Amino acid sequence: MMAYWFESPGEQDDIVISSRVRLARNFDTLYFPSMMDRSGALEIMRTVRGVLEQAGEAYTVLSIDGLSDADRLELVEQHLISPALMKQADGAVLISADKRISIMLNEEDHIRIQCILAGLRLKEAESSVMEVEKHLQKGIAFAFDEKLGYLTSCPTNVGTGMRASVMLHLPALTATGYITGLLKTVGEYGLTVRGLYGEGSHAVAHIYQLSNQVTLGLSESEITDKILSSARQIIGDEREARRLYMASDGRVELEDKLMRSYGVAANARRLTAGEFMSLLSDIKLALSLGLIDGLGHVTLHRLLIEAQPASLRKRAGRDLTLYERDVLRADVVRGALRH
Amino acid sequence: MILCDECKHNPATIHRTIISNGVKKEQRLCAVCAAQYGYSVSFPTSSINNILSGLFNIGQNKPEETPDRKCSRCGRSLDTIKKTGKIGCGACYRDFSEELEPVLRRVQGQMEHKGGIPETLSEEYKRNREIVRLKKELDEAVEREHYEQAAELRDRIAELKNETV
Repeated sequence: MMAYWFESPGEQDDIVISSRVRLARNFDTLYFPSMMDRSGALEIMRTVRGVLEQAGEAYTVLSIDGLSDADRLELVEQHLISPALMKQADGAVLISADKRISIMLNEEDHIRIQCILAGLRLKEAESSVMEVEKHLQKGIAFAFDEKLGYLTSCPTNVGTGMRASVMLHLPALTATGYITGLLKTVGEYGLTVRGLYGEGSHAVAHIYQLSNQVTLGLSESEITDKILSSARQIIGDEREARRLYMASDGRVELEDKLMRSYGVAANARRLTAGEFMSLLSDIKLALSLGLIDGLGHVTLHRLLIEAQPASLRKRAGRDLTLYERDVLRADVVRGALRH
Repeated sequence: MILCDECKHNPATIHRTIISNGVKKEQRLCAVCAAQYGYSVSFPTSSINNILSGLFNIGQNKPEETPDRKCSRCGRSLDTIKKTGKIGCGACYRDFSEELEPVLRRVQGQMEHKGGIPETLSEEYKRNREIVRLKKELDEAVEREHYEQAAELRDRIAELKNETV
């Protein structure tokens, strides 16, 4: 059994949590999901499975209606499926043996190929999804227009059908307020930044997603190049903001705050999701600044997933009350930090 | 700023009313804690669709209804596309190209696909696309006064054009 992305180390993972590329494709012969009946959905499942089997690719197939609510939510928490797929009775997801690739079927588009990796590895994610797409091309004619490229349910995805993103932890840029200017700049560059829980949401735990806004008029590699060069710039700015902060009079105050958070997380008997997320951000920064020994970023990324509601429910093996969940979350966090 | 009742840390963005045994209780939650109660926090697709349906109406200063049309293949109406932002099938892009063009221009900026193409596409299409790409490179080379490179590109374009005939 290979590791999930959140169980693996990655390049610059003190700041970059994950890199993700998603590709949207539709069958040329079928109506798009919002106009399609169940027989179309079943044909898609059958065809995609068949083509992948022929290519000798091993995938675990999970149909949405065969999963419990908790199992669906767990896949969302692991970023292997989208929240939108959860609501599709005819939806399904195919997960590769190495857990890097998930192929969502019958979501907003017929096919959404996703690759998610730890750290800054956008190019690797890009080539992985393109390779899967190439396999699928052998057995499926995709909806394509010579001028507009690959056709999708929503005009925001037309062309390459590609959405690429990196998840960044930017506490220093947030604290110093530089983040506001940054959000404006990337917008002018055809990119967009949003919080962990989607557009318009407050950036929980100072975690931001940087992704491309435009999918048409650029090649796939131009899209990932653009995000990578922006990400590198932002990472450099974050490091500089951290350095300045640590060189300022505020150093002791910052260290005190971060280490108190570490103390709370390592000892608390009850943690709400909101409190946990802000503690996690502080601990991640403390670790990056060299204030804590004997802990890896992978441990924190695992917690980011494993301390979420559905993952905790799975661990308990039964439904939990909010109170029980907060107690279990504190247990899991304490256990991980004390290793 | 009102803080979340649950974690008392993040700003509260969701307001819910609970009635239990006839007693009404107000609760203010942040996105993270609300998710624990099964409330889905706003996801980008919904707001993108709102923006899209807004885009369809830009530049239409005539408020009177234009007659609704349906896609010749899947039957989805233009009204539904405007309302939901969802295209019904590949043919909708052709049947409603006039209405979709300004929308695409607004969201995408550019109108010419430059990414990967199906392997099954005709050689001629691939060649034409390559010519378009080289012409752009040629313009850039001329602009930068790299005349040697420009001459090479010009030859290559001529070569490709000859193959077409």
